[in-house]
Amino acid sequence: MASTQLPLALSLDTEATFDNYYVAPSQQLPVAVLKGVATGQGEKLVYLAGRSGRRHLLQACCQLADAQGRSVRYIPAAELLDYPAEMVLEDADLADLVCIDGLSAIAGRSDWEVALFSLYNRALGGGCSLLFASTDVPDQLAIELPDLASRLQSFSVYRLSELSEDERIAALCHRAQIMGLDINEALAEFIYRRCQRDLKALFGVLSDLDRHSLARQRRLTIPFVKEIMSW
Amino acid sequence: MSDAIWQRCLAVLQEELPAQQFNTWIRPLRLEAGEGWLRLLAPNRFVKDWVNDRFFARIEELVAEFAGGQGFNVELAIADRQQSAMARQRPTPPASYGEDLSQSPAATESAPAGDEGVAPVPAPAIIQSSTAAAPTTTPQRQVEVEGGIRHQSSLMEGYTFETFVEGKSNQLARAAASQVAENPGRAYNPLFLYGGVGLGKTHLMHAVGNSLVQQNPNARVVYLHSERFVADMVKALQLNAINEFKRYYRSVDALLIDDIQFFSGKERSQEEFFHTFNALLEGGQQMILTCDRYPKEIKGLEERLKSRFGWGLTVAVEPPELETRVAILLKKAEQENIPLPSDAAFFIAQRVRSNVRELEGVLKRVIASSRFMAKPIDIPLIKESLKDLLALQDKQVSLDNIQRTVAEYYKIKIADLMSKRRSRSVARPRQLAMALSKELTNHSLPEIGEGFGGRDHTTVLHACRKIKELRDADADIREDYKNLIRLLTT
Repeated sequence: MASTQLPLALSLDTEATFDNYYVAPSQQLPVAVLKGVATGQGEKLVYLAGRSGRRHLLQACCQLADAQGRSVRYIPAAELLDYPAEMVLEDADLADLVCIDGLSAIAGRSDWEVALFSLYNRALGGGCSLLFASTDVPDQLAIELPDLASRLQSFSVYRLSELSEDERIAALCHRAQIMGLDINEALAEFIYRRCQRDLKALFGVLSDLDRHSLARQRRLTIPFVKEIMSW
Repeated sequence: MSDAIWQRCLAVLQEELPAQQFNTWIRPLRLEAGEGWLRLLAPNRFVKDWVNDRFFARIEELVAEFAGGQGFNVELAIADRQQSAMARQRPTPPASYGEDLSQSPAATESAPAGDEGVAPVPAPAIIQSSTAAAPTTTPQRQVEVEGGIRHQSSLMEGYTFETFVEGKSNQLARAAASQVAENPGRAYNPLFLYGGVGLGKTHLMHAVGNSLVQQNPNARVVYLHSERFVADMVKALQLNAINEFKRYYRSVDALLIDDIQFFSGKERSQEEFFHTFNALLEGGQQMILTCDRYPKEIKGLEERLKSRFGWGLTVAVEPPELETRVAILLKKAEQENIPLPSDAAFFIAQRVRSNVRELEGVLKRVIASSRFMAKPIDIPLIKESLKDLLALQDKQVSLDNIQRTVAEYYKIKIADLMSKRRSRSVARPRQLAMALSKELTNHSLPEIGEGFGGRDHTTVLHACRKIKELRDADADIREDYKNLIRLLTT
């Protein structure tokens, strides 16, 4: 069987680990908390809010938990809205860690809200840790079921702050180093100033540069980058 | 033979699939095998459907290949919850079970063969304890009663009277619960606790249960969420095990059901619950129910049930006032062995006012910051660790926000709140909005008057006094005020 990618990102991205994540100073606490969740030694109810890096960290957390021999369910809610909520979350509490991303997508969907509420109740009575995440903090989600809204408030909420420009450049250097690319700060800044500035796009450019560097057997320099990117 | 074939299939699939796909979809499958057949048990329907759509054809191919031309029948089915739980506790479950597995009524009768493809479980086994059980949960305490039914209490041992913080808002409920714990089935039956979310109703309920168990370790005390009751009943109906279901719930010493508003609109469950209720009451067995509102206000609930709920004692649990919130924080910190100065507790309690759950969540976050930064908890640390929450609150609770929320709540225009109109439909919401502004913002009375169409500060003062009076005398206003506070502060 060909190992094709599933149309829904239900499986974990093996590339997403804590090791290859650049931890900005403002994100040190959430990352430490997530590692605790993964190893089962930390808090049982954790909520991660933020945009950039959220998905990577969630997957990293699941990977680490899996590597520790803990059973994990990763559920990207936004991509599963068309499935019956009850079915998706059925018996999820039997896992050691249930990680649900994209909670804002389920807000206002009564079937999902009730199923999530029920999962919370089951998890509380058992040993399952819950890691929920979304762009917004629980208070800002338009959850209609008051019982669920109040349960979400019992989570420890950690916010991933947006990275500053300097931090994004540092993240670019960090990723390059992991990829074995020799990039100094000046070159990183040069790249940063010339392309879309979200990390996903920046890392995409880095992959292109890596490919060209290998193909042409050349080190990355500003002139070489200018040439291959037609900047 | 079949085992060996499956092991070879697993080895190939592990090679072919990315590790995470294998771990997510293939590894959870459990094997049942016999002469010439294999049955793969998925932990739930979702995994079953997923495997069926994407991997089953390949699995069949591999089985055929490794069976060496022998005709092998491969099936995919769903394991029942007990089997899944067993799988979680014991990575390599034994091939057969020698003990009694029944822990919930629906599981007391094996599923008939062919029902969703689940084969009858030869002889069920007890789940002794969950290895990953939360420390606060009594490890699957089970008590045997007549008919071989085993009750799983689901009581959380951390919820006791000792850990419950009493204040004006919950004094009566606490006293009633203590009475019930001392005289189960006699003092107040049923005890009906109602109030908003996160105010301690569940805690009190568990406290009674734990106390009963402490007094009599063989007491059959069952706590469950109303939704679980409904789910069990549906399952029992599907499995033709409704008599087991009835026997289970009618043979307990105390039945504690949380959030019974979830029975709303579920007629069959209400019917069943009605009979259970009557049987328990007649038998002198204690019932404790919680709900988010007064029984008469539950829509979609049969009148006969509403009326029965009022037979015992109905007590409200109100949101905790400042002093109680402070006491709760200090108690929680003490339980965590974390020094929390009282000025720090006050600082948090003044800002988090909606319910106890939010207080707990916020305190956990402060404790995590304190541990991470290796600094003691003080107000600067709290401000730093809660800065987004505090910023959000500052942004949310403004006069504008209060006016918008109140106008939306009463379906009137914001302009009406500013206008000189004095009809009741406008004046009352305006007074409420003014009282809320006084309660939730730091604006002075003249500033609030100015914000409401240039009114005098004495008008605001009058509004605040009037609303205070009405909150004591009028249940509707009390409810509206509570709802609006919740809307504005959560």
